Order: sequence, then structure tokens, then C-alpha cells
Amino acid sequence: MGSGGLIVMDDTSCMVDVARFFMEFCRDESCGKCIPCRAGTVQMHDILLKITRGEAEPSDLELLEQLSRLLQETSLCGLGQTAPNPVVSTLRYFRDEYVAHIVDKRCPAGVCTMAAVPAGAEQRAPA
Amino acid sequence: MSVKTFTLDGREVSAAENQTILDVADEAGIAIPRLCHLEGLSDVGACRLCLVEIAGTSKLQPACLARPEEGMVVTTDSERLRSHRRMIVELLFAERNHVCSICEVNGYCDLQSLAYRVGVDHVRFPYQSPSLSIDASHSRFAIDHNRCVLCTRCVRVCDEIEGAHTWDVARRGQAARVITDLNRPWGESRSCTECGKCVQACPTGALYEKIRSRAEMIKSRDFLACLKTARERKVWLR
Repeated sequence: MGSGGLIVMDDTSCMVDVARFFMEFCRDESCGKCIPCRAGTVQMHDILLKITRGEAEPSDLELLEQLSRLLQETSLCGLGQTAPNPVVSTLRYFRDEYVAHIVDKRCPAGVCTMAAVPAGAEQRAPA
Repeated sequence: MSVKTFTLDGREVSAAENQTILDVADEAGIAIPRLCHLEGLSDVGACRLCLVEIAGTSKLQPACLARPEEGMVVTTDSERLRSHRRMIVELLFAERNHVCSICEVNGYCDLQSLAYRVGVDHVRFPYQSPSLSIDASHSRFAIDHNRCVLCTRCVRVCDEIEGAHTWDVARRGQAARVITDLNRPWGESRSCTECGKCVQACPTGALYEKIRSRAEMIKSRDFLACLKTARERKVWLR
């Protein structure tokens, strides 16, 4: 994230949780001057949090993508413009993990608590 | 003085030196949505509502700050810009507690008319409903942080026009608030001259006069244009 550093991850990292972590960082670092970054990072983080808790709907994914485009194209500085990058790239390469959280209500890496999902429900077949 | 000719929404227009795209659009009768811009104050390009498309570059530019170049092709209205503007206004409504029906400026509010203008008929985001304070310690005015959109018009009018610099922004991100003096209650402020310019400049009902009740306060901003002409051209006109 901007420092040129590399993070090596294997299949024990949940890509949705990773995206949520970076969005939390950007939300906390936003200066608040421009609206898309100040309010957009808050909403994006909340949607990602909903996904990791197993509360999200398929429409949340669409909203997340629209917000990503808004922040990239309208934010005043580089922080807001690049804040959605982890979301955009995890959606591009690990979309199945998002779908597993939202539709199947399970976390493939076993990282997310899926707190909102009742016990046993995560085993159900995709709707 | 060099005049620049460029294309604005398919129309040939010319800009005098120091004119921004927003200035030229206003002259040409093209109303670009805006919130943090107020004629007579410096521009900060923070609300991102006046973003326009410039041919040859994918990056959107704020019309309030961008200077026209010779031969530039500018588009102020497109599907992409409409969708961005709408979402920005939705984000503002979800961020704090904007309840028009109980607001002093209901019917005369910049945020409200902006929402009508960009077509916000519902908000797709969950309301954050933060618990925010109201500072009514001042004898004549009050600030309701629930209605503040952090446009910083109060900060700029107080600093640039009144010269008092009572207002400032404290903290960052979603925790950002406009404050008086060093975050002291407004009523205890030593720098405030009680001129009320901040109240008139405020686009919403965040800053209001205590004597007004619901939907009664029409804000007057004529003094800004008057002071601007007086200072720049030494002509006192009303």
C-alpha cells in the first residue's frame, strides 16, 4: 500500500478480510477534505465488514464496485484515488471468495467470524 | 490580457485571464452543480460536484479551480458525471443527520436543492446517524453539527472577508468538525466579531440565527459580491 512493500499471503488469508483491513486503514487516514474519500471510505468499509460478518446481499457487491469507481475518479488526492485498489484487485482475482461470503455464507479461508450467520447455516447449498 | 477560446458543452466560449471554467459556465448560463464554491471566496475544490470532463484526459477536473486552455473541449454533463454527483450527494445525506422537515432553512437550503437537482430520490447507503452536538452558547447564532457538510465556507468567509479566522476544522476523516477558536464554545470565543457572515455563507442549516424558526431562514449572500467589487475595483455598489 504505497510503500513499495510486498505482502506474501497463502490460502489461509481471506481476501475479503484483507480488503477490509486496507479500507479500514484508508478510512482512518482520510483527512476529510473531499466528500468521496471522507464519506466513501466509511461506506466501503461498512460494506466489507458486512460481507465478513455474513450479512451482505448480492446488491452490496454492486454498490461496492460503484463506490470504487467513484473514489478512483473523483477523490481529490492519491489517498482516496487509490483507496479502492485492494477491493478492485481482490474482486478481479478472487471474486469467488466474495461470492462464497455473500451467497454461501461461508469464509473459504476460515478467517471471517461470519457472526451474523446462525450455526449450521453455512453448510447450506447455494441458493 | 489574453483571451482563451474553448468549447463548453458544444458551445464556443471565451475566457478572460484568471477566469475558471466555472466562471465561464456561469456567464454562459450553464449551471454546474457546486457546494463548496461561493462567489467572493477562494476555491478549495473539496466537494467534487463541479468535476467536468476534459477531452484528451481521463482525469476529471474541478471546474471551480481549472483554468481553460486554448482549444480545450469541456463537457459539464454526462452519464458518468451525473452518476458521480448523485452518489456524492447521497454520501452526504447518509453521513450526518439531515432532516429537512425540522430545519430552519427548509426550502432555502443549498444541499436540499442540490439533491433535487442531481435527482436523489432515495439514499442507497445506510444512514450513519452519528450522535453530534449543537453549540448554542453564542447569544445570536448556533451551530448544529448534524447538518454540517464540512464545505468550509464559514472558515473561508471568516478568514478572508471578516479577517477574524474564528472558524477552523479540527480532527480528520469522519471525525472532522468545524470549531471556533481553539475548540472553545462559540459563546466564549474572543476572536468572533458577531458579524454573522459565516451564518449567511453556510449552505445548510448547520449555522443559523437563533431567532428563526423552522423553514424561516433565507440566507443572504449579496454582501460577498459587494465586498468583492469594493476590494478589487474600489467601487462601492449595492
